[in-house]
Amino acid sequence: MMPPPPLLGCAEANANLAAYALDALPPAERRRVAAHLRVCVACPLALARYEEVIGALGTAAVPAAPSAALRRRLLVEIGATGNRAAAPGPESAPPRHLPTEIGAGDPSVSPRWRRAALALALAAALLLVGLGVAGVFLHRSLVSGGEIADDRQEIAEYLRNGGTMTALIPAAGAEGLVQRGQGSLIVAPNQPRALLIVAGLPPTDAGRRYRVWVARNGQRTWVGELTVATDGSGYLLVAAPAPMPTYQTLGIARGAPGSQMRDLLWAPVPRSAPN
Amino acid sequence: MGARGYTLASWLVTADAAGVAEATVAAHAAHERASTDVDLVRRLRQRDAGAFATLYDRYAAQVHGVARAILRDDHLAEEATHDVFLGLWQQPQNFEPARGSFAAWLLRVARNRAIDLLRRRREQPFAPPATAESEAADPLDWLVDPDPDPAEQAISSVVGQEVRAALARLTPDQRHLLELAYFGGLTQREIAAQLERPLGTVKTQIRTAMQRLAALLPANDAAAYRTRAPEARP
Repeated sequence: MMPPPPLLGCAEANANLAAYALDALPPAERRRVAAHLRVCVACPLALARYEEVIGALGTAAVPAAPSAALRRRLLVEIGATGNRAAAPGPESAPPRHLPTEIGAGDPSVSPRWRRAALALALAAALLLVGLGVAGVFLHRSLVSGGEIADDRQEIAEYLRNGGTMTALIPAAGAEGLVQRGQGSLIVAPNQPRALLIVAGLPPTDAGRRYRVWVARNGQRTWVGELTVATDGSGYLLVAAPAPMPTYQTLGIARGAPGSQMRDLLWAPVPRSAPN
Repeated sequence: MGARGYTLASWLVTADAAGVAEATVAAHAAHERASTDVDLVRRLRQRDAGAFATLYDRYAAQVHGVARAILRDDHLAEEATHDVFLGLWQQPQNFEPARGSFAAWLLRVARNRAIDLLRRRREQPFAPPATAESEAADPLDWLVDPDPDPAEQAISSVVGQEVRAALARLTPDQRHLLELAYFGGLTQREIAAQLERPLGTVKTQIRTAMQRLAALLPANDAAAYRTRAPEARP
């Protein structure tokens, strides 16, 4: 076995500190500088100055605001609807899809909130009608497909149980790609898989594929391919490798086979998603 | 309803009630804007989402600007911006106030994340061709204007003025070298190959450029950036 290279002296390490701070050294040289930094008192101070300069250099880049959707996505991912609410962004109305506690027994909830809750319970009933429409849509989509007939029972269960429905929203920068496309993520207490339904998307063809992912802590896992029929509708029963509540987001990406996929739609995974 | 879940009814309830809540949090938001970065990071360690939102509003444009300048792709830049802020939420202890300002640290993290993505994209054997948008873009449009005219300076903002002024005092070759290393994510070896110069020469030139920049920038320049009123930032 080759003996490890001798530790760098201060002069040699110092000569490489600027490149080290810029991450412009090859891995072997970088490791040697890092080893020196662990045992030296003076060089880390010099490095700190270079790092400060590199941080300041970032302020010279032209600032560019990211999309409003990114802020919403991050606030969902960090669970910003807990005890201390995040301030609403200046750029948009509060996101409609945020899972939020509005506890009836919570003394901090004002009567005005409760009145809103009562008024909107009626609207919820209307949405349930919409869910019925989804059922009709699914029924129409599935009756002719022998291969997917086995899924009908499971889908029927979602609809019977009412489920928890989350609207998908366009991914950052994909507003133009989505156009009329929309979708919902539905979970129900006793169902092991989540149900994803979409409508208004261009149909799957040789140059256009839809893939579905789930993510947690910034790491994505592809969980299946969504087939969009010629009428723009499609569905997927999502079976993720880990329990669904352990994921933070679910999304749909689109692209040609062999090319980079671009995010299209996404939604937070409800904490009450099936295990 | 589950503790953190929401049914169809609560989904709609939430939508409207959140609008009601907007006025309630407005006063709170004003207080947040006055908080220092260090205070906000301290609250992040206590899982305070309000502090996170304030830091995001304060620095998202700058972080995204750095990522965009490096990646030259809005979609990827948003991914980088996302990763930077999610990482901040998950590991706020990575920022050590004793080692410099929060702004300088965060922009360094942003630069590192963008460079990671850039290098990963370069390593993809079947990387998709650049989009029409990025092909059409002149890299200089995404980078620093080392010699902006007064009107452009006024439009762009006061942020980074000292840095731009310092860059303007470097030689064009030094600026180019730093652009290749900082925004291009190239190693010294790659820069040497691209410029057809000996590696040793490039090493010396980069070190000299960085030393010159360090001498031109007042120490803790980024800390001065931090103390500016947030409203002055884009």
